[in-house]
Amino acid sequence: MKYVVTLKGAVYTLQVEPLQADIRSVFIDLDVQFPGPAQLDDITIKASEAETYITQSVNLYLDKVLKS
Amino acid sequence: MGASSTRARLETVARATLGKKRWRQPPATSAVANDSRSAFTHGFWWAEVRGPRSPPFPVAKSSRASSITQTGYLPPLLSCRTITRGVGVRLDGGPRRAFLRHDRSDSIASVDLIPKALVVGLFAPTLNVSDQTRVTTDKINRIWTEVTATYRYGQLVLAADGSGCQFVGTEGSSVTIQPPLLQVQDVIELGPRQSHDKAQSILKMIARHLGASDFFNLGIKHVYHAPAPHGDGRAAVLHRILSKSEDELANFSRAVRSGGV
Repeated sequence: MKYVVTLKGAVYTLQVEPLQADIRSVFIDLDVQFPGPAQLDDITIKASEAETYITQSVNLYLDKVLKS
Repeated sequence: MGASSTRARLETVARATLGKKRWRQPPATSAVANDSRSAFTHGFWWAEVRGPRSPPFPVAKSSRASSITQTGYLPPLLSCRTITRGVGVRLDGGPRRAFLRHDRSDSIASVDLIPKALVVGLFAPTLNVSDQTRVTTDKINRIWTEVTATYRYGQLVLAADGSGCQFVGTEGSSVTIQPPLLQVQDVIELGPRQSHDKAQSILKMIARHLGASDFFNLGIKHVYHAPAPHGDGRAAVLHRILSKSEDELANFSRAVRSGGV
C-alpha cells in the first residue's frame, strides 16, 4: 500500500508492504519531503515530526487494520 | 474469581518467576475493560514483563481460571506489548496440566514498531559554484577525519575526479557527498533520536568544511518493521490493509489529512 498526503506543506509518502526477507514482518517506509529552503538546525525537529507521525498516527492505523 | 484478584495473582507469579528482572505493570482494569477488542473481552487476563533483552520473555496468563499454576513464554516474534490468545499456560485450577497451543484467532493489542533505518538528505546548490564551495579531495579528507573521530565509518570511497565521495559504515550506514546532494543513511542502533542527532551533526560538519550555507528540499525517510499477525506479513497486507472498501479508505484519508488517524 502506498499513500501520499500533504501535511503542513510537507509531502508524506507512506508505504506498507510485506517484508520479503522476513515474511513474519511488515515493512513500513515513511518518506517525508520538505520542499523549499531548509536549515540544518531543523533536521532533528523535522525528523522527530516524521517519527511522531509514524509512531502515533500510522501505528494507530495499523493497530486498527491489523486487529480488524 | 474477581478481576483484581486475578491480576494480583498474575503479578505475584510473574514477580516470583522473574526475580530481579524489570517488572512492567499490566494496564489498569478499566483501560482493558474499555477496549472491546482486547483480550479482556475474551476472558483472558494477562501480565507481562520486559526482560533485560528482547523477547522471549515470560508472560503469565489466565483464562477464566480459578488459580494460577505456571507461567509461559511468548514466541520471540511477539513483543511485550502483544497480547496473544491461546499462547501461554492454561490455568484451570486442577492438576498442573500446562500446555501450549497456537490459536489462529490471536489478536494484537498494539503494533510494536521497530525502527530500522533513517535517511536524511538535502540539496546544497551553492556547492561547486565558487572556489570557496568547491568540493576537493583535501576538504573531503578533512571531513572524513572529523566525522570518523566521532562516528564509525570504515571506508572512504572517492569519486575519480575527487568531486564527491561516500563514507561507508557497517550494515548499510553511509554518508554521501555528491554535489548538490548531501545525504546521511543510518541504521538505527540506539534509537531514532540518536540517529536524528547523528545525521544533523554529520551534515553540519560537511557544511562547515565545504562552506555551504544554503540548503533546499530536505528529505527524511524512516524505515520501520512491525510484526505481522499470525506471522504472515503477506496475508496481513493483502487481507487486512489492501482489502478495504472505498469508504474505509476515504475515512482514512480524511483522518490522515487532519493530522491523525
